[in-house]
Amino acid sequence: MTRRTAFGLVVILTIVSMLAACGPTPEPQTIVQTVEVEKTVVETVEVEVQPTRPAGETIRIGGVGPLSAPGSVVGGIAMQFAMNLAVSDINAEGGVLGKPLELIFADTEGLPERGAAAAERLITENGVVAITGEYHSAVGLAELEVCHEYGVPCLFSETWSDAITEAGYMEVFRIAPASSMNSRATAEWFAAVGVENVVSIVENTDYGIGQDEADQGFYEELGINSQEVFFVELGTEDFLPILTRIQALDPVPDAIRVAVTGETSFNLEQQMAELGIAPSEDTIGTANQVAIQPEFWESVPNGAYYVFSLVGLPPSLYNDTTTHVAEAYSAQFDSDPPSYALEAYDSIWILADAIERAGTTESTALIDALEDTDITLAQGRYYFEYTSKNPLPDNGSVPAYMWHQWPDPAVLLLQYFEPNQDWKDAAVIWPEVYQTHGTTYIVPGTTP
Amino acid sequence: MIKRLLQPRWIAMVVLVGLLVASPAYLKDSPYQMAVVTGAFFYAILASSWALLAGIAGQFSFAHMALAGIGAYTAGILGRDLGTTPLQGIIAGTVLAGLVGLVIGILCLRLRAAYLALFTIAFSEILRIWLLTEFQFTEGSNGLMLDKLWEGITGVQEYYVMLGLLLGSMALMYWLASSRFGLFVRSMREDEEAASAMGVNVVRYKVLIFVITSLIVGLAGATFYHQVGIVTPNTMEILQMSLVIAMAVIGGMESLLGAAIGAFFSRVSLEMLREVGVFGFTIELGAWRYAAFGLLLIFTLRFAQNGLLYPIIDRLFMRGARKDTVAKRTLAEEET
Repeated sequence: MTRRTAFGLVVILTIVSMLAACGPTPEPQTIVQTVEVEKTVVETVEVEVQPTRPAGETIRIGGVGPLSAPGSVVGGIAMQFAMNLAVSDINAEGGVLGKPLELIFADTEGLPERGAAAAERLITENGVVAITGEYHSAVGLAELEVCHEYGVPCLFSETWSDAITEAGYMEVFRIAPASSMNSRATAEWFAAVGVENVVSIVENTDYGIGQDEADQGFYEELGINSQEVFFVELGTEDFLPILTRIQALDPVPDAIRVAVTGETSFNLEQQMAELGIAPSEDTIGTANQVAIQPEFWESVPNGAYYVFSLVGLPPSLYNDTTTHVAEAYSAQFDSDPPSYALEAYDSIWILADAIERAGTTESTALIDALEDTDITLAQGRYYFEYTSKNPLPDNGSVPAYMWHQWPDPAVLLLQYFEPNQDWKDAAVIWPEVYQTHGTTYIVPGTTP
Repeated sequence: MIKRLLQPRWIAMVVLVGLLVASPAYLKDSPYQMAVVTGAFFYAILASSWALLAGIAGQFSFAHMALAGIGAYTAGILGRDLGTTPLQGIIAGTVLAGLVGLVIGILCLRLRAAYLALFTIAFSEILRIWLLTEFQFTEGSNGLMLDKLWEGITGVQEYYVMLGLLLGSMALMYWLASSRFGLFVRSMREDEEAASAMGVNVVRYKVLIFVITSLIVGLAGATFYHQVGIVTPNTMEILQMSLVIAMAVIGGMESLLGAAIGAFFSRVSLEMLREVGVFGFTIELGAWRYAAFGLLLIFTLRFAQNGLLYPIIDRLFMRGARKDTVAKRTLAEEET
């Protein structure tokens, strides 16, 4: 054999071994191998080989989320932590159907192709009975096709795109808010407090433009007049030209909607308050959701009475389960749990509850049990209003994204009513079911 | 001819292709492994075409993922808005990627090395940001949905489509690299002025190499993302392009085959390293597998600058050619 031929063989062997490693993982099971051992005499010995995770001894749930770039690694880590916490809590209470629950978490990297591959692996190689999690909508859209193909239930905990549930798949459920639910909250609140004319100040990005497009649709639907929309560049420091135009508007707007993020929103909000435009007795002032950051009061000292949105629960609305998750999360990350961590925790419990009620891990029975979900967890009471037993109306009166969608995700509006107030002490004013101070709006100069 | 075909390099090549063609018989029971290998073919096309552009022609571009994205987005948008079939979309995406490559090639005529790299990084980032901000047209970060290549396509069929693309593009690139074209672009890489002085039309070949590699990645991107079903601007992140380059460097950036095999093994290994079983324990490596990949890249750059696979490819494919050249030269010297 020449050296060249030997090298050829090395290449071939490398490829063969690589392909062998790519081969299907055998179903984990107890295998009885017969091995011939040659000593002085030849005898047959039975050796029991135990795989790492024997099938049937645990019930496996697949977790999906980004643990590496370009995905949101912080989000993925928080979700993985919360899911592991839920699994450990469930197992401490005896597991599910008398067996321990096992979480297999797959890094989806924020890329649809990786998400689809991860879902494929969890279902076909790891034998999970359901999949939950995901942070990025685009990745979720790729994953749900895999779940649909295999008929495996998939409970999305942090993907907002309407398209996730709009597909109307039996296998797909969601407990995060749909994008439209989030956009709609402010418009619905405007209608509830009697706003007739609204001015929007919007950043010229996909967030800002998209938010404004959604808002305009809701305003029209709810009979609110959009007086003017001002588009601004991120990084703008001087808003006087825009604000003087607003001051000249007739009639005076009832509300100013701010869809500007980061430091730019702080500049805008301070100048708006300083000029007495909003929040004022005549005009409601809304701030961006970054108003919960400590920097808000440093940059917006006149920020009392601003209204801002929050997805998730403030500590004032925590129940015992939320407090338990918050304590564990805080011990690990030294901060309050974001909504996606609470959702991830709850999603594992929802699946465990469905398996327990179904009495089996068979997909159809599990989907059926998920449709009947009624359980109170860290974020509140979970249920799915529109299911195969209560289909979406044909007349289009209910948006298609409400299919298998939790109707009450915590999309809240909060209002500061004191200067330098901690966001955790701000009043929850909307929706009414979450109100903390018994009011839908605190007029500037008053206290609730 | 028969003697030539019996050379170990041809035997190795036939066996390699044979294994790839026969693999679905083994992988068909594991849709996941099939999807991973199919995805690895896509990266092999990207890495080998980048090796042609950067390793052989010396044009260091970071626009490969962006061009693949152009192919995919064009196909997706045409399918959504004009109702074109995936095949029509793929053709249009490939052509547009080629046209963008033509423009980049013309714009970059006077740019070299770091300046060209910076230009293409800027181009990729501008495109990515544009795709994010013009979300009414591109669906932004939610991603643009693409139809499957055809109704009811199976994983095995997707495997063969990408394998066919890989083999076709490799054949084209090998033909180019071993032709006068390859000789000219190599001479450009070594010394542009000298090549020009020797009669190489540097302008034409610089533009041509950009157009050809852009067409290849545009075609691969449009086809692959039709299989995935969705494409997002995240695909064009500079990190993704860096991975393609790292794969080509590990395999051997001056070798088309080395880069392709390097990309294939890297992609499959990164997937296999998600979970590692050690003494009955399962270790989830998560993002740490990229750290291992980075270490491998550092090792390659320090100790095997021609790539880890280059010594093997050199022995299999180039030693014979070198011997022939030396023999011819010796014979010529003896005759004179």
